[in-house]
Amino acid sequence: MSAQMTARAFQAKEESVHESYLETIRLTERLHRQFLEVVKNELEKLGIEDLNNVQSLILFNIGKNEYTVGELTARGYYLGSNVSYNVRKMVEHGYLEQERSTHDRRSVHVRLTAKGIAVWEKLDAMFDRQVSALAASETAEELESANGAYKRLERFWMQLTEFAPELVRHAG
Amino acid sequence: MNRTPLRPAAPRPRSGSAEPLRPVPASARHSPAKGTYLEAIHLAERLHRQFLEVVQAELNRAGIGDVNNVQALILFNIREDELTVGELTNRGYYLGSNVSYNLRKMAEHGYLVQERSPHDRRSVRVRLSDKGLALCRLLDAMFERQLDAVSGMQLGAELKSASNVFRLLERFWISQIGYSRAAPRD
Repeated sequence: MSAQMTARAFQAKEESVHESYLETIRLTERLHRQFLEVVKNELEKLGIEDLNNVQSLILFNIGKNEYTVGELTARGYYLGSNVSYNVRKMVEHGYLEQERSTHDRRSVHVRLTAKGIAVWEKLDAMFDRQVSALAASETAEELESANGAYKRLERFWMQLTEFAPELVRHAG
Repeated sequence: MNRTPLRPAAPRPRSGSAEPLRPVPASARHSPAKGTYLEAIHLAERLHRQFLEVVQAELNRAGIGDVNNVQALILFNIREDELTVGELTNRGYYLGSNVSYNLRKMAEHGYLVQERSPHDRRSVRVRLSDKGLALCRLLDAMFERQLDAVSGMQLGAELKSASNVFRLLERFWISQIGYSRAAPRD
């Protein structure tokens, strides 16, 4: 809309940045929640009741790998506020199994059981269907560059939580 | 984050040779389109949480310990308005999982004033106290600084077109579940 900026449009541009920024903040929250809702809906369709949406996404992201809980936290995938709780629940319901590391007794690895893999496959099929449904739309084409913009924003925010003296100073 | 160590796994029955797990395809084998799609999903989650971290860092720097990031954003979204809990929920911004709890905490710490409606005794309206409004101004100043930086990085236009795409993605997800909600719950 505002590709060609003129000096007169400066004020409008400022407002537009303001709007885009706040909109992005709200949108990321909505997207996150909406996607969790999609997954919840899928689990309901599959008749899976002993696994919630956040847990199933942890499961999906573990995939064929083995992780410690620390690594899962560091990867930051859909963990909600309580990684250990979610992992314990999935172990209890037979989706994950835990094993102490032979090298470090304090370190526990988790991996999917056959039951966990079955859910992984269902979720993977869901993603495939969604990717196919999106393939025809312009969303798919533009998503990569949209990701790029969001990644720049993410890096900016990461700096803000680390150090940025010029950004953290308060007036008063 | 929770660092409670996990309980050790129950010893697995060793029935002869340990049965190998069925292999799961690696995410590296996703098609480019699927990789991009999954990345978008991760980004939405990471950005959402990273922004909450940014707000928490701001509160920490200001030495504010009696309100958390989610609560601060609820205050920021109420601003000058006077709302019922229902109206606030419909706005759907940063409410976390427990609106009533957050509102009660903020009222306890003097950021919010709760008042029963004179017309409907069951309906409670909330508005910001002076302390709450002061916190809003702190967040306003934070946003101003961030907006300067975003303008300086020439990121505004990029975010605008990115958000157009992500809004389509949002609509796609809404269509996937067949009905829309202003503020889906997790």
